[in-house]
Amino acid sequence: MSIKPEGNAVLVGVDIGGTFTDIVAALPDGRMISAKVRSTPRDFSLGICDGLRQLFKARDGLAPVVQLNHGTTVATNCILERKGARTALITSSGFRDVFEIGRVRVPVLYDLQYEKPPSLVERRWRLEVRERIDAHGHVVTSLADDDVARHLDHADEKGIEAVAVCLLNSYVNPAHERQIGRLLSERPGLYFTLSSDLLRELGEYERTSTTVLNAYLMPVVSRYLDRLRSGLRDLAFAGDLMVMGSNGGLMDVETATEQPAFMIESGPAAGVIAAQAIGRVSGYLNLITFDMGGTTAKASIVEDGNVSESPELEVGGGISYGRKLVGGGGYPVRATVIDLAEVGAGGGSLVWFDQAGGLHVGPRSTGADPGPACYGRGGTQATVTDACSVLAYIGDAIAGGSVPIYREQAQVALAGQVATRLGKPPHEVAYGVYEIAAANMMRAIKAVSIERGRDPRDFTLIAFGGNGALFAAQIATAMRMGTVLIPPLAGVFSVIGLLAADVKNHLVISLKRKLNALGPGDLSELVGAEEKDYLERLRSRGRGVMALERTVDLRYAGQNYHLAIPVPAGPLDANAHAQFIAAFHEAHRKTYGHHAPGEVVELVNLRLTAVERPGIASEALSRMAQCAHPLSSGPQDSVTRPAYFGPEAGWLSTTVLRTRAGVPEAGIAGPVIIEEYDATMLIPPGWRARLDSHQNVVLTTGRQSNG
Amino acid sequence: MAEIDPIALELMNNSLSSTTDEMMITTHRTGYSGSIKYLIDFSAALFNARGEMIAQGVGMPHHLGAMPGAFEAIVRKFGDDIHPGDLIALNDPYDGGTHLPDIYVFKPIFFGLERVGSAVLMAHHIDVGGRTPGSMAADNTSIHQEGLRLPPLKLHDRGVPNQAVFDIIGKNVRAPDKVFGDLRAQAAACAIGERGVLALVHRYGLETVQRTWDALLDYTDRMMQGVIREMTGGAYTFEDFVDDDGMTGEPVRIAVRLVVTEDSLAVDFTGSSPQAKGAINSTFSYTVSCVQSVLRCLLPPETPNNAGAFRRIKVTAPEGSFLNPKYPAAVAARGVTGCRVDDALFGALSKALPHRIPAANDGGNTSMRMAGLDENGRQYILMEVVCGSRGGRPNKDGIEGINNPNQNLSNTPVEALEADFPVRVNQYGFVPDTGGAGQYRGGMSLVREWEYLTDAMLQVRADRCRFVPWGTQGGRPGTPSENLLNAGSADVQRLPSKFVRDVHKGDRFRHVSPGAGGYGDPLERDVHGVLEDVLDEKLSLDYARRVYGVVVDPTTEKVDLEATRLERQRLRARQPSIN
Repeated sequence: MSIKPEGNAVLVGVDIGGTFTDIVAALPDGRMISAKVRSTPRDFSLGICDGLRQLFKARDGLAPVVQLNHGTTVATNCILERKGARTALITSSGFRDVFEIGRVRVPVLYDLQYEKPPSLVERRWRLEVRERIDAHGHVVTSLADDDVARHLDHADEKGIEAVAVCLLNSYVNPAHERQIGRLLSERPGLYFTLSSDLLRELGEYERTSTTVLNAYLMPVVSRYLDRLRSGLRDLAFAGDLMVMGSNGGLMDVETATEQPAFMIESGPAAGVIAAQAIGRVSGYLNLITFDMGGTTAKASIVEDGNVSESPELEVGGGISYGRKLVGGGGYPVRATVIDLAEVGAGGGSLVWFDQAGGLHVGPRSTGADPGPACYGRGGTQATVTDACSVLAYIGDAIAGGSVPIYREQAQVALAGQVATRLGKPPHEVAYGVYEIAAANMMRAIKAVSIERGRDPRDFTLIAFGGNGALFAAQIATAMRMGTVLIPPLAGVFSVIGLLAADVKNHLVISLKRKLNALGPGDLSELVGAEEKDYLERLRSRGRGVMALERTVDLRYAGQNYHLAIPVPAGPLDANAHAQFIAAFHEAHRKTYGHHAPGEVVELVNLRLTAVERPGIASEALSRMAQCAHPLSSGPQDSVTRPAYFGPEAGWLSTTVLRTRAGVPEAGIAGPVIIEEYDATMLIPPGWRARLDSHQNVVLTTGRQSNG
Repeated sequence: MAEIDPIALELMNNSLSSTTDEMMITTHRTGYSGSIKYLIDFSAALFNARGEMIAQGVGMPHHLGAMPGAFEAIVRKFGDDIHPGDLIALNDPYDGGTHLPDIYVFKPIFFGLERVGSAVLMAHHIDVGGRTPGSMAADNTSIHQEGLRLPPLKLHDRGVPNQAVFDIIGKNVRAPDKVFGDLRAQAAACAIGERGVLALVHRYGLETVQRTWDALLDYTDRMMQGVIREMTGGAYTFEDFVDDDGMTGEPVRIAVRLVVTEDSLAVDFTGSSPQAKGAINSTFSYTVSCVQSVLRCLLPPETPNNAGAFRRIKVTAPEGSFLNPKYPAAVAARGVTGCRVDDALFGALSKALPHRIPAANDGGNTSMRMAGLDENGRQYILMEVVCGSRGGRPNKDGIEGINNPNQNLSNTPVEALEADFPVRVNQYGFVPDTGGAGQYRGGMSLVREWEYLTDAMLQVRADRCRFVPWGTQGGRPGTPSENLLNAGSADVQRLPSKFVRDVHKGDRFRHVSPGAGGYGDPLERDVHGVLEDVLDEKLSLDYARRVYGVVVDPTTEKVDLEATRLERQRLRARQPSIN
């Protein structure tokens, strides 16, 4: 069920980040070629096209590229920088303030200076229309069309670009929203989103927020994708442009343009998909992913080869670590997303003191400019990367020599700012900073493991991103995880995920039935009818479906949170029925530590996922990634330098390898540093590194683990 | 004082707070009642062996300072008769609790045979029996009307559930399935707390862990010491009022005297009203808890949340006053009193730290219960709170649509209410021209109107109908709350601040929350801030002119600067020179 690039077909993945744009092309001969170019934040499509031009310069443009898969931060940046469209919101009469009121909780206690995130739609553009539908879908008050017309005339006049529509109880009966949709579609040039087109779920605030974000993003994302398409056309690209969604599936450009709220975690999701793919091939089905860049670190979990999903994401509120309960720091987006926890700890995180003398690292970050002190570009405040430089974990240059490292500047920053205060030499303080940064990032890892009732010792840590491999062993030691995996191309790993991802389409159907009142026959019929309907609609839009996945959201009747339980294919006979109910009780016990087998189980939603076109099969992808590695390039001679491993171990003479190919067959004991083009790996004392048959660097320690 | 490496401290603090986070999340995801799943009316904490709080989840600030009292009651009752596998509960205000709906669940944590601490999850239950559904009536006059009293008792005794206790609870509460479901969630959360603490002990060793906990307490104490030293020594007094006690209609006075010395703070409530007839009495433990939560706001938010913050704070309230009542005073509605304790103490602080303390917040949430029998004859109880706004601050406006800083509850989705209860919500939003004017204005009032689709009981506990939130530094006071039945119709009725009554199918109950106080002279407010509020229909044109002296031209949507200058001049001339 997987495709290989056939004939002269080329598949390309492009991931844009704040500093660099990574491009990897999978060629028909099974090779991969890659380019890393500077991102062009004013118009990211320029950087992409530039990179593609470099990569394909020896070829005849992009004609052989059949599909280009894109991971992008355009949506996230647009929200963080508040650069979305001028957006209006249409609500039921009496409820214009729902979006600003939110859930009234705050994510931090005792803060007299707290600020709510500013409303993305000013009150003057939150427009009420007379209408009302009750909780059973009955019309209480008919929609006043003239209210809508009056508002839209005014909006036109004032240059509103996008309109979000969210009416009360539209998840039960969308008739009024659709009526407004018809009036909106008579006004060309105005982008709009109806909540009932995006999601049919109870909860007016969460649905409004999702709808507003979508409308707010639509013009920006649409214009961006237009520019990208036009740039690609100039390069003779005639294939399909696909965009990565927050759920780890690819969507076509039309869907991305209509539903940009679902691509907010595009890039981070790709990294998890890559981990899943490489893990499957290499025999690691239970992984905690650890993706560390310059400003944040992200963690997620892959269990039995499956990624973990969450029904909601909160954006624009800065950093999150699975803090769904303490939400309120940002705008919720109700959509199935890969469950990621994120903390503000990266190479650029700043070191600072509070008034009682407490030492902290992050979440504030130096950003790309001026960067850490050791970059020598004017930064004076010590960062995590400076600590790594003082500890000699990174050498004289990174990124293949393109970024020189001035270690003495890191020393000065740490000594002046921190070491004097603590009365300790800079290397000891640097080690403390390194440990605190690791501890901060562990919160993200705990959020996706311990807080979900999963014991990290049952998992392998897979580390990637520019800085992931520098901290992985330290974190694994603290979490008592016995094995760390550093895959090939760790520094551009997200792109591998773009090449592995399937093109997917999702549907959530709100059912809300008590399972004890529903026999297996009833359920089979209910699910069957929804499936049939869904597949017919996809086919009528010319979409091929290669596989259909089914999940049900279950909870104990009365609870507010559900757990997603996969449903086996085929008719739901009594046996299958009993099996997935038992699976729910077990999942509840596993996740929360208790269950209640005697209680009534409620079916909340049915989720259908159609796989329309699969990505490159994991095997092929892994083979290509291995070849992409510059296995024999450059000098192989190992050198040594002293590096500092804490007060007990002290300074140790440390072997430095230029590539992972330098790891001897029998493995090598730490301390070892491997400096590759896209990432630096640290193997501390007590850990061993070896290369597996898939060119993963596998770190193991004697200390561990559940086995 | 224990000296520990700052790095080890930060690591320990992160570990403890991620454990309390986890306790909170588990409770929320698995709870059954609206109190847990929507309102988030519960709190998690970890304690050391001495019963000092070493970490707190992002729950209800008002809950936490009361926990030591609960801990003492348990020790008083059981002494050394506490064993691995025990799960201890209590709710009695005269034996460790603060009001009956709040049930504390404690799990002692043992490392081998040594008790090293405990995990606590306190939750507000949807009903604990008594006179009215929801067990929250303000017009109770005795604790015996308020529901089932649980002295410290073992829910689980060495791992074995105490069935007799569960049976008694089941017969005495109106929604036993919800109460039992929530108790299960509390127990699960405590088990998570236990696991988190034991993981630390296994990793670092008991001696190191305890030493680091002590150092964390010392650290927070040092932070508080720093704050106290910034304050000018002396005595600062303030008074504020609860509108009435739900029975007599008489105002109830809170008098506070804050004495700042070089190294300590003393908070005394002598002069406050005697014990009230109605249920607004606040147990002394709750009064102390509210004082602590206010003073905690003086520390940077990221300071480790532990009992170290309160070592230098002494609280006194005369026995027999409504801030330290004697048995059998009713206490169900003590939440409103706690909020007024906050307001009074913030008022005193605003004299000591005028450039740090905002004007008064909304004065606490309004709590509402609707109850009746559903079509299957089963009791339903709808529990809601309306949370409003915060006061103007020394450097920026207050906020609307938020909790005050010492409560942290959530609202219930309108669609969830309408799906589960025979009620419809007609309006939920801000009320223009409310809140106190100021250079930095107070947050606006919120309005919520419910329409009843069947006959039902309605119980409301509001306040600030008469005594509005105060303004400061020349800022105007906030605006009153309102309770109206069938507003806008010919037979509109103004209801008291606190009541229990029947409502009938078709009746509409409308609550307007208080608007928060303003900070600084309104005539000093940035004219563009006023313009934005006018364009956003938060202020009317007339109000902008009358109160702020800002003249907005509605056609150009601009400020007429010259007219504004003259208008402000005119208003200044008329202002009495009180500020």
